[in-house]
Amino acid sequence: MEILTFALHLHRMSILPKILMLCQRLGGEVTYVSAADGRANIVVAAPNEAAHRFAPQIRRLIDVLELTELHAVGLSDADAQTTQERLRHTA
Amino acid sequence: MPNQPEQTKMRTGSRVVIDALEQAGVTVAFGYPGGAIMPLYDELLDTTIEHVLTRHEQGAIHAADGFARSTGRVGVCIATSGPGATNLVTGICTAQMDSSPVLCITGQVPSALIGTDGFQEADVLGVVTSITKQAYLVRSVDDLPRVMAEALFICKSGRPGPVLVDIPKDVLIAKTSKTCEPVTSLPGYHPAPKLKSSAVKNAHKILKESKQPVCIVGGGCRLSDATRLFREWCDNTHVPVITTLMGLGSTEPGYSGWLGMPGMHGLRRANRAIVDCDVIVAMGIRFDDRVTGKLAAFAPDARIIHVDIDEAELSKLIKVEAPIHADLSETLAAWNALLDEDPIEVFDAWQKQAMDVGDGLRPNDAHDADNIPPTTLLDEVLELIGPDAIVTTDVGQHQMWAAQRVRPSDPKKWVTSGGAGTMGYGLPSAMGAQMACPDQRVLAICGDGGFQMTMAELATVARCKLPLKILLMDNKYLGMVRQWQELFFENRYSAVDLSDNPDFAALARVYGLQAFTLDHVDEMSSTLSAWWNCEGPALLHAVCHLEENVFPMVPAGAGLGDMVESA
Repeated sequence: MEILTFALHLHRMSILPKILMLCQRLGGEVTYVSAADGRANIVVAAPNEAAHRFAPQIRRLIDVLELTELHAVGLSDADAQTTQERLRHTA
Repeated sequence: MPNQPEQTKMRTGSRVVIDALEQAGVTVAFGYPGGAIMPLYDELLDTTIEHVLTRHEQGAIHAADGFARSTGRVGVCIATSGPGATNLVTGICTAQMDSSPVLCITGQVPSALIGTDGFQEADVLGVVTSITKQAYLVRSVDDLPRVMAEALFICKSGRPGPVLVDIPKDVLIAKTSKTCEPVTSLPGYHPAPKLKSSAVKNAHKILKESKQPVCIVGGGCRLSDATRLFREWCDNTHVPVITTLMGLGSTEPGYSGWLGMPGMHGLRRANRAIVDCDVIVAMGIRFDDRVTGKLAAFAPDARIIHVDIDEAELSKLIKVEAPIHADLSETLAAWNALLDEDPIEVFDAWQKQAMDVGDGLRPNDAHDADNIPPTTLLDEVLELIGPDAIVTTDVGQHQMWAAQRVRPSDPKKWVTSGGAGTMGYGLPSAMGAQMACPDQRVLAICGDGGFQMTMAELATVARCKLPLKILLMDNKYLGMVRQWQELFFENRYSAVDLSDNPDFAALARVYGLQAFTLDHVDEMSSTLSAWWNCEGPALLHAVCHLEENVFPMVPAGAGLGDMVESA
């Protein structure tokens, strides 16, 4: 599993359930959500093989104004490489 | 009394909806009335929009979808609350999977009853959220002008898709002075990504370095209105072209490098070329599992260029070396200009090599002459109707046989449910296409299973005097399921028997259509001619061989190189 952390800026908060359902559909397990005033933070445990699909599929939803994927510092070289590889292909 | 100024003119919610549709150029809507949507139906009496009453909401949305696909314009359907709205669900999913711009307007119970389990109340927004591009529940009539403008914009822009607007009855009745100009942008929504010239140059460089490139073109070509530019690109490069189920018709009918459809029931040469190529130029496709087969075995030696307007499709399933996140038309215009400046050596030799592999289609198995061989029938029908007729299909064996053979002159002339694989789509989508294109010939190719899911729409066809023709290929089975049970479940046929089908020709006549029965090979030419050339709507009931299979076939989970060409 890969832990994905998203910081979202939403035009309407009503889009939040759609985001959570999408995470579930992509095989992820949402482990943390906080949301208020058009901002949301979501942490998802995502299957490695599907992790690259989350950010672009969330980003394309209408009412998602901005999506930032956050990364913990201090990744091992191997993990950092995987993450960079994925980001390159979803940029 | 003088007219009130526009900004203070009071309009009902129903009038707001009608005005928005008229302003957007909508001329036809398909639907089915009911309690919660009655105010809108009352307003429909005072509009230029022609309303087509279908016999089921599923028929309405498939018709709107057929209208949209055959024109590129927004298709509109209307339903009432509760079961009316939920009957749209299959059609919404169908439109979503194939990126079809369909606008659904549903009535909802009055605002005060929402959440009380009121009569014909359903949480429609909750039901459709995950299968729409966007969905709205309108709580105030003052929001309605903006919501309608947004809905129409979202539906058609970028990668198109279905949008649903759910409107409580009291909102339809209430009045507002609000207006809204057509929407052309929304916060955070970027339907037209800016093309990077460096990305096109990179793709061009990869193509120049290639010895054996293949282009796979999909539904994005039609959606982007890129057909002319795509054909120009083909003429500039002579790259062999594979058209997915949704991309059929993108090439010139006579293009010498057309390899056909790829994938599970693709042609031998198309699948072989994917295995053998060194570069794939993917245009407006989404690498569906029915196209790729086993991903690990898909184009193992190829560098991938992928053009798509939807960023989420890039590297979703196949790792892409050269992504181009842009509209296909814009990309092709830039690439064609680059090809003029910096021509490439065309791929004639490779094209011939790829074509020489052959299509892998085989004649029907030998049977007695009392039933009709289905692929022979389709060959004759497609020859008879020519490339300019609009062809719609249901889903199943007949769809695959048709897709292997059809050569439409334009991708808008091929209307089929690809991603969702929705049985019952053929007849109502043909109605929509015929309403949209009254001067064109329209053929619905149906199987006996799918036809019976929406055959009540024969009444709509008769009432509207739609001159479409229906080819009903009756093999008295759910044929594709039966084929899989034969090949992969040791001939254990389970729930596929339709041997007690009705007399479809008699049924069509009861509805007021002309009808023909074809059950003997010797009568094929004359019957086909009489059916196709008669005035008005007509059904041809073709009694086909019972257990014909679709080949070539790539078994589920196998690679494209593992095609099976006979049982």
